[in-house]
Amino acid sequence: MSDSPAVQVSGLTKRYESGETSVDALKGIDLTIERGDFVAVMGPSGSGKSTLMHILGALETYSEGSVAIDGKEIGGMNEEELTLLRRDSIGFIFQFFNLLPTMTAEENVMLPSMVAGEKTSALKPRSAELLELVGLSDRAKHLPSQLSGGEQQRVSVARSLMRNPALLLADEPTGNLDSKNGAAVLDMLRDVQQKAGHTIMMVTHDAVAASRAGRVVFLRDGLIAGEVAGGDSNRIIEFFAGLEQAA
Amino acid sequence: MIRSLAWRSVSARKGRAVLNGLGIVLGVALFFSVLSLSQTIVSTFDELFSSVYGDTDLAVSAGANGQGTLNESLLPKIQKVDGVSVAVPSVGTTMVLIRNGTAEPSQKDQVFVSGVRPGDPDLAGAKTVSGADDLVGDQLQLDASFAENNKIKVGDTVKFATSTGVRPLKISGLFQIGSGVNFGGQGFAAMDMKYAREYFDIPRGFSEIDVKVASGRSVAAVSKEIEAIVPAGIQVNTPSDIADEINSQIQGFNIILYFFAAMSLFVGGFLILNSFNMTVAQRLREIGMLRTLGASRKLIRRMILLEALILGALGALLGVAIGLLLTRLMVWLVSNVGFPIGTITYPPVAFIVAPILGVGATVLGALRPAIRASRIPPIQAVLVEHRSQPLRLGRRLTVGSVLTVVGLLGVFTLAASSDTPLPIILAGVFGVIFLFSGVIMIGPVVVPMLVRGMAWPLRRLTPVEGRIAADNARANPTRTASTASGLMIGVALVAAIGSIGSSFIGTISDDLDKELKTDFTIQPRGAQGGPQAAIAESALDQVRALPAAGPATGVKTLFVADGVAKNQAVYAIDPATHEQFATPEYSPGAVPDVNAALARDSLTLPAFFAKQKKLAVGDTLALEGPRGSKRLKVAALVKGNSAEASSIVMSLDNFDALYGGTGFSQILAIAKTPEQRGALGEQIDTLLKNNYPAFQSLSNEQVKQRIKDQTNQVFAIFYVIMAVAILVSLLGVVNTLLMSVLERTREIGLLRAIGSSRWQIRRMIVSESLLITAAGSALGLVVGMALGWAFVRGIASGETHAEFHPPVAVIVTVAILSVVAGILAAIPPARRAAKMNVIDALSYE
Ligand SMILES: Nc1ncnc2c1ncn2[C@@H]1O[C@H](COP(=O)(O)OP(=O)(O)OP(=O)(O)O)[C@@H](O)[C@H]1O
Ligand SMILES: [Mg+2]
Repeated sequence: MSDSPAVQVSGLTKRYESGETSVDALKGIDLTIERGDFVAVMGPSGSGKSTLMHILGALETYSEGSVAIDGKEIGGMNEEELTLLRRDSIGFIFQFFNLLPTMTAEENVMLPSMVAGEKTSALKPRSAELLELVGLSDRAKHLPSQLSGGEQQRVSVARSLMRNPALLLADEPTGNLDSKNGAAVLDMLRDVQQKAGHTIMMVTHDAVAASRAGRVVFLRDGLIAGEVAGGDSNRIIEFFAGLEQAA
Repeated sequence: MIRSLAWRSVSARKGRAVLNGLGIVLGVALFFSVLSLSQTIVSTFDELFSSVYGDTDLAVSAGANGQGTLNESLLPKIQKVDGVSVAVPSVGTTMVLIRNGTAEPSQKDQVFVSGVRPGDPDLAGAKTVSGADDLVGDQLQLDASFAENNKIKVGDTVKFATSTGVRPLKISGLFQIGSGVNFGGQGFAAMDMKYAREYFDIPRGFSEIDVKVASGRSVAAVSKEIEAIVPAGIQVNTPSDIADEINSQIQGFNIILYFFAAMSLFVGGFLILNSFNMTVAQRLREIGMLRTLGASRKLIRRMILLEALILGALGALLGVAIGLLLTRLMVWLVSNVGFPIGTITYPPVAFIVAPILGVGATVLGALRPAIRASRIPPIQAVLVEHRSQPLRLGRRLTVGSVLTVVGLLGVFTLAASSDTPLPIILAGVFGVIFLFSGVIMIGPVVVPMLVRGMAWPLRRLTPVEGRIAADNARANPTRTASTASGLMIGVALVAAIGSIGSSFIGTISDDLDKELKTDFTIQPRGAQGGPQAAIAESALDQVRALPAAGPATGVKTLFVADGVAKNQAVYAIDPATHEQFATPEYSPGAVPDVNAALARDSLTLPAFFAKQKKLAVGDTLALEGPRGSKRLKVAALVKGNSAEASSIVMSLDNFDALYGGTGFSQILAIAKTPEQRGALGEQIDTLLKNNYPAFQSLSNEQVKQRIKDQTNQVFAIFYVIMAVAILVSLLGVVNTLLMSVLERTREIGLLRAIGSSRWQIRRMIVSESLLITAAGSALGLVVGMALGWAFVRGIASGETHAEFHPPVAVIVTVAILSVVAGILAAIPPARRAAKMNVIDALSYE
């Protein structure tokens, strides 16, 4: 198991049907993400980025193909198994943070394990460690409303790591932040990947953000249109421009 | 334009509209059925009196329910009065149909039998349906609907339990009175007075003399003339006087019914208020937008009120339809309590008043939200977040507490007053309204604290769900508090009624324990209304002769108009053995040996009665009865709740000299030794079964149980009404939770994304629901018991002994039901929350 890739997708299609009309959001995706990879997903609006992410996060069903997360096929899983998969193997970071307003930063970080039925007292050391990692040790007892947007997103990064998931999914995590705060969150994700060895897949529209990743995968029209290595934002911008022209 | 906006708003939020509408439907249905119920009771009595009295213009009787005795010498005197066309005497009692060998204490088996003289005209105007028209020997003329119910035909010989034992009576004919309504099941019968006297042990006197006034003469004038020649204390009434008197007694019952029905409409209006407040908050942006487009405040206000009007009108219509059904349930309940019920009558006014009140409650409930909506500034259209005004908790707490205390004082005043003029009734009604308003005001302060306390066990059970639910319930204290307050009102009224009931039962039971030394009480089987059967005096000797019997005695009771008070109970005891059977609680200042005084020329008075009439120990009372007159001295005043504490008590000898004696009302018996109690009970039962099946013996426990049962039966109808009010308030809980789910769509989505199962989400909603219902119920129980306590204290401040007993059964029931209700109310919102698509929830704005 430990040598299976974090994500193994092949021939993945997704068709949204609503009455007469149907939309093919994904038309046959083959994608492997190794453990410890940091993959950015880019593409024009409507290309299927969020759809792919939702399927990988076990939030959405798919039509054909196969998807394995952490070596586990999710195709045949029932509702309960999917819940456990989300709980134990996947961490989410959202554009709108989605912190519970009545819980402190510390409690929000612990939430995934609380949901899993673990005792709060046993979770304190781990959440303190994570808050330290995201540089918010002194804000542990603050409510989300007492934190800035960047700080809130850092709390949600810490939360996504709480259960040490095999896969971190981030949908435009910087979309709602200014560039300085956005950069801080990206630095943190990179730290998490490089120091702790987490696997990350991040959807973004921002080439600079994407350049922090190791791999940048491009989607167009429900298909993978190409891939470049991270690091150089200019190359990414070029590739992207090419894509949009072709579209 | 506003009409279509209002209409669209109703149909766009169909779920909400249905909930609100349902609240109004229930309120209107309840009000409608209460109006119909009271009309049905009133018209049943009217019909009863007009059919039983037929052509009778005046009824001469001694005491209520024909329980007194008239001297026979009165008949010729009345016949001689100028203007009297006919005067017809009768004797009356009750017998019980023997079914399967025994007599049951059921109203349906009772027959009011009247002994009349053959040849006298029939003033009741009964129509013979089959068999003989005239009385035949000692045979019985029976009312046809009773005969039909019990499959009795002319010529049958039917066994009845009478004062003197079981009597097989042959049926000579069937008659119909009035339109043949069934008065709660009991029957009517007539037989020759000569035999009635023998079979029912009524050797002397008449129960009633019915008079027909000569045509052309004024009934009132003749009534005056008869009154002038009969002894004081004898009543001369027209049938409508009697009906009016009974109606005025029913009126008290009706006022309570109206009050409760009004409370449930109030809860309905409150539901609307909360719901519209939520809608307005939800539609801030939409309303702000309308204002930027140039909509005036007036238009916004009218749009909301029109929405309420549409809702109210639809609800009211459906409410009347449901009310028609609910009436049947109420009528059934009331007939169970023993009210005679004829055909159900729907008063025309109910079809108008109930819907109008429903629409009124809806529009009134929507008034404040409408005004609030109209004050929304156009800027709200562009603001992302609306900052709600901070609550002025301090002021709420002060004003609310003052209202609460004033309200309790009002209730106290009502209870403390011995009679009930309008201002006192208003003090009570406004007391209740003030109390509830006060509690509603302090709700947003108290409810979050309650929620916090209640959350503790939930958080032990389900740490995350319980925690989030508690947070959510406290996040919007005003909304949670007003939702809980709706429930509080219903529960409080239930708890108040329950407190009054349990205090009443508890006080009487305690007093019985203290004052009643007898082991068994022998009395007529469950007779209600109508003349009570008396037990032949010979039965006492038979009881005394039983092997396990110790001392036994007979007592007599009678309701008389004694010239001092109307309908005063007189209770006759044997002074020689009185001590052995009762220890009445005498007020200080009684003569040293009350029983010795009673044996001579004294009586005792209820303390409250003496106070009312300004009588004291040593005063002399001149009493006149059908058989003679006496001057008796007051030897003592009696407190407590025993029969003696509410009656004029005198010796059997004095009683017979005044009122003429028939049999005993009750026989009291004590076992030879306490160990022989069980044996005595069995021996008495056997004796009664064989010789006097019209009577039953009750142990002290059974006496207490009976008081309990009867009280609970009467209270059942109040509980049903309040159950509807509580149902309405639960709709409010559903409403608030649906709103809560809607507002927390994103949070729910997040919880699902990080691995919460659908069950966890459901549990979270159920927890929030439980917190609201538990807070509402707890508050309601406290407020209701405070209300009941104020009432009981008020009563106790007079001469009546009353002590507060907490309604344990009600508390337990409410606690259990509030959990059940909390779960049920959470079903629709929990369903919606669990079904939510995670992705939609996360992208929800
Ligand atoms: N629930 C749905 N029902 C029908 N069609 C959908 C649904 N969700 C997405 N689609 C369609 O699927 C396609 C891919 O959508 P997706 O949200 O994955 O795009 P995206 O790449 O995330 O776009 P963006 O950059 O704008 O977020 C689009 O054409 C979209 O309209
Ligand atoms: Mg997207």
